[in-house]
Formats: sequence, structure tokens, C-alpha cells
Amino acid sequence: MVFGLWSLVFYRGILLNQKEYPYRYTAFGLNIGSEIPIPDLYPSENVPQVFVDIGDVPTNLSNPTLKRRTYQLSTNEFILKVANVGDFYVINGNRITINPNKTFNQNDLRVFLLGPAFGALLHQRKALLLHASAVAVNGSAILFMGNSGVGKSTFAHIFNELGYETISDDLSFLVKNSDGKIYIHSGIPRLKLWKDVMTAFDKDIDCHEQVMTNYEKYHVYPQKVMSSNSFPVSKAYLLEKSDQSTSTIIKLEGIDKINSIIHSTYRKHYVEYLGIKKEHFSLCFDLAKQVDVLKISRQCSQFVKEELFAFIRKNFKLD
Amino acid sequence: MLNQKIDLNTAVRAKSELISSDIDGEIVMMDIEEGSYYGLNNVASRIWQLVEKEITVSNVCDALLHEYDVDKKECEKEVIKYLETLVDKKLIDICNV
Repeated sequence: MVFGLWSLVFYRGILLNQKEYPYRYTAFGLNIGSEIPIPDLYPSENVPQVFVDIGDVPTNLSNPTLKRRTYQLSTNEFILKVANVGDFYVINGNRITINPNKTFNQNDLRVFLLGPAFGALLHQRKALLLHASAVAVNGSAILFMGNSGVGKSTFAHIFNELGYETISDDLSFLVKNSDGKIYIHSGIPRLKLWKDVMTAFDKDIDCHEQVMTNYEKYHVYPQKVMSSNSFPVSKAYLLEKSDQSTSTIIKLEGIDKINSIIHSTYRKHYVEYLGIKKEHFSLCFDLAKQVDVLKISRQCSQFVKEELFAFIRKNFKLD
Repeated sequence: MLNQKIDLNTAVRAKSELISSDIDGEIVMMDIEEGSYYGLNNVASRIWQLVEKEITVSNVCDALLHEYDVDKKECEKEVIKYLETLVDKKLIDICNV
């Protein structure tokens, strides 16, 4: 009798451990278990609820709502095929399966994992995902929205230098709390900075991980551990390139404000095909009611550290 | 596209699947299906508030005449024209009597 019970426990144990997820992290309010290391994220001891594994990826979705050459979407599935890196399959907001190419590079893989793959996963969880970097100032979050290359991570880094923590780089995952307010979960604490910014801050590029092959950005990790897990959002800035020599800041109101938030959605063209329009736009409105949005227009042709520090000290109310 | 004709006795009502919110004093209204959204000025916002529940065109005009300094005939003409645009854009429904 006793022997029989032990067999059952042992057998069940084997089944549960068939896939080990030795690398554990917490990000976006989620406990993640991964078969591959993801050093960009905060390590954790928690039991995973979201999984990253290596395995087969279907060639096609059976019922895609959107189908393109390199990616396909349905309401709860996403396939992405990246040449020379691998295929990614994201399902039900809780699993990413990667089928790496034979000649894949670990760093390249991570870029797409922590970009479009996690982006799709977070969208599948039906909250508000913005293409923005976020920093913590006095217990609440400031977001930097804008197109790729406009300076979101650079702004976040200046704030780091001034003593403020990065909440997340690139992916800002916003949720509505039971108190009705919009909060951001801490996400990816490491920044990706351009070579000229690295040089201006005397960071040796030879001592830093290059983000991706043929791409002159480098990973910069935070000095200290994030103090809290989620922050109410207090303000958002929309960064924009301008060809004027003087920088301007203007407050966006009404429809311009809501526009800036909607257009800052991560991969905004996915929203329609994910079947989340109502929830998504509702959250955009909630955020617009909660925060001021200011548009910063700056010349971006050359990074001048002192100029950006001066600009931030002048225009941001920091202690 | 032919406009649907409206007169003073027509009852209209905002479609329930639209989200609208007061953002910085401007009513912004979104048609999720179309993915389009509109900022409404003062008068347009007031009209939108009125048509959130089923209401006749004549009652809309009565409310506006009370609140704005405007000629009755002018008001009726403009309101009908505006509501026809909203019907056209599928933002409000004409309620069957």
C-alpha cells in the first residue's frame, strides 16, 4: 500500500519536472520561468506563472486575424519569424516558445524576446502596453513616449544619473488598479543606449554588451535593485525630433492628448487584430484623465550631455 | 452617401458602444469599431450629453435655446444638420417611433 503511494508521487514528480525552468524573474507584475537566461530582468524566487521555453513553433496559425510574411496574429496567439535568429510563438499571455535558428546569437535572440515577443504576450493579457520608457520620481512614474531613436532611453539614463530608478525600458505595461488609478509595473530595468551617449558618459563600450549584431546600442544595467513593484503614473512626455535649434515643451490637451497616448501604443497596429480594442481604448482614456502629457520637441542630430542635463533640470520639477 | 433625413419629431440616441470622456474640458468621443475619435467643442459636447439618452430633436433644440443665445430657426436648422452628420458617421441611431 505504502509502496504504491510512493510510486504515484514519484511518477507525478517526474511529470512536473519534465521541463525545468531554472531561470526565474519578475517583470511586468509577472513571475517568469525560463529555459534560457534573461539577464535584463530582475531575478526572483517565485513560482512561475509565465513560461519561456525552447521548442517547436507552428509554421502557421489556424485562424489568424492578421497574416504577414514575418508575423501572424490571432486574439490569443502570435508567431514571429526573424531571419538568422529564430521563430517565436506566443500564446494565451503566458507562454513564449522559441525555435532558434542554427546560427543564432544569444543577444539577438533576447532583443526579439524582450521586444515583440513579450510585447505580444503583454498585449494578450489585455492591459495597456505603451512604447515608452519609465522612471520613478518621488514614488510615482514618469513616462517617455516617442518613436524609436528619439531619446526615450537617453532621457531615462539622465534620470538615473540624477538618482532616479528606471522602472522599465521600451515596454511600459500599465494596468488599472482596484482604486481606479493607472499603475505601471516594473518591467525591464536595463537600458539600451547609443554609442555616442555611452561615450559622453565615459562608459567603455568594450565592457558592455552590444545589444545586437550590427546595431550600435549597448546594454546598461542599473546600479541598484528596484525598490517597489508598481507605481502610479503621474506624468507623460512625448518626445519628438525637431529641426529647430531651440527646444520647446507644450502641454497637450483634449484630443491631442488622447491621440499621443493612442499613437504611443506598442505595435499599435496589432490592437485591432487582437480583439482588445474596447479595453485598450478605455485604458487610454483613463490614462489621459489621470496625467498631463507634455510634448518635448528637440533637435536630435547631436547628443550633448550638458545641454540635456540643463534642459531636464530647468523643465522637470526634481528635488 | 445619402444622408438620412431628420425632422423635429425624430428621436435619436447615441450608440452605446462609443466611449466618451471629458479630457481637459473637451469631450473626446471614440468609435471603437472604426478606430476613429472626435474632439467636440462646447455646443457639440452639450448636444452629445443630451443624446446619450433617447431624445427628440425638438427637445434638443429646447435645451440649447435655454442655454445659448441663438435664433430658434437657426438653432433647429443647425441641430438637424449636425445630427444628420452624426447619423451618417454612425455615431447616433434614429429610434423607431
